[in-house]
Amino acid sequence: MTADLSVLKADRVVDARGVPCPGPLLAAKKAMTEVQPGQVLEVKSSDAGTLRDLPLWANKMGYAFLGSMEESGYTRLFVRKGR
Amino acid sequence: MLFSGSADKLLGASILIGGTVGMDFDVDIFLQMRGVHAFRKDGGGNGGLPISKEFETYGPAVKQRLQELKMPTWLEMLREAKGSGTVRVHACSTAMQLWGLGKEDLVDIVDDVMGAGEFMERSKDAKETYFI
Repeated sequence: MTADLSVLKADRVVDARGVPCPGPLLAAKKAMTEVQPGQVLEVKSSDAGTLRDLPLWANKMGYAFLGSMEESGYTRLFVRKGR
Repeated sequence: MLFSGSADKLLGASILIGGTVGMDFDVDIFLQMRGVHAFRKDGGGNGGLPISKEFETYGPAVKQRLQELKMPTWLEMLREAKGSGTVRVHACSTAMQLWGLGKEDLVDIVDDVMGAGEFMERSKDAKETYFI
């Protein structure tokens, strides 16, 4: 499914900018415990590894990786709990 | 298997362990020899440890860069990993004897002291094993 990320409003946002790998992944994992099924988590990361880590993690955990958006100096990544 | 007690290898190990927990795998760490030494309460947790010999000349530059990046220490990273999933830290009983240490001499993230046999039995079904 394709979502228009630029207008997508996440239910929870984790700002992991400046945090080295694997910090953003661990921050996402922790935050997801407080996200309800169907809700969307946004992770802000400036670590290049997160771009690959997060889709793999989402897939493994049964979450839907909705995509990512490049901003200046960081990336916004979106994951929905549940498919 | 964490055999090394040098700061650079411990940092590498902590990053791997964090990634492993992040991907929802469990981790069992067996501290051996200098690996046990590194977990002493009065020892190197935060920067007092040496750099590996083959990496020595880069040591000061790397240290400075780590500070610029505000990189957490290996021990802080390991603590975060442990707080984010299942990470069990076991100290080798022979190394404890060698260094004259009791469990109370080690930082609190060490779970227990065990022998090599018990660790191997515990880890026999592990999907991946790393020796650092």
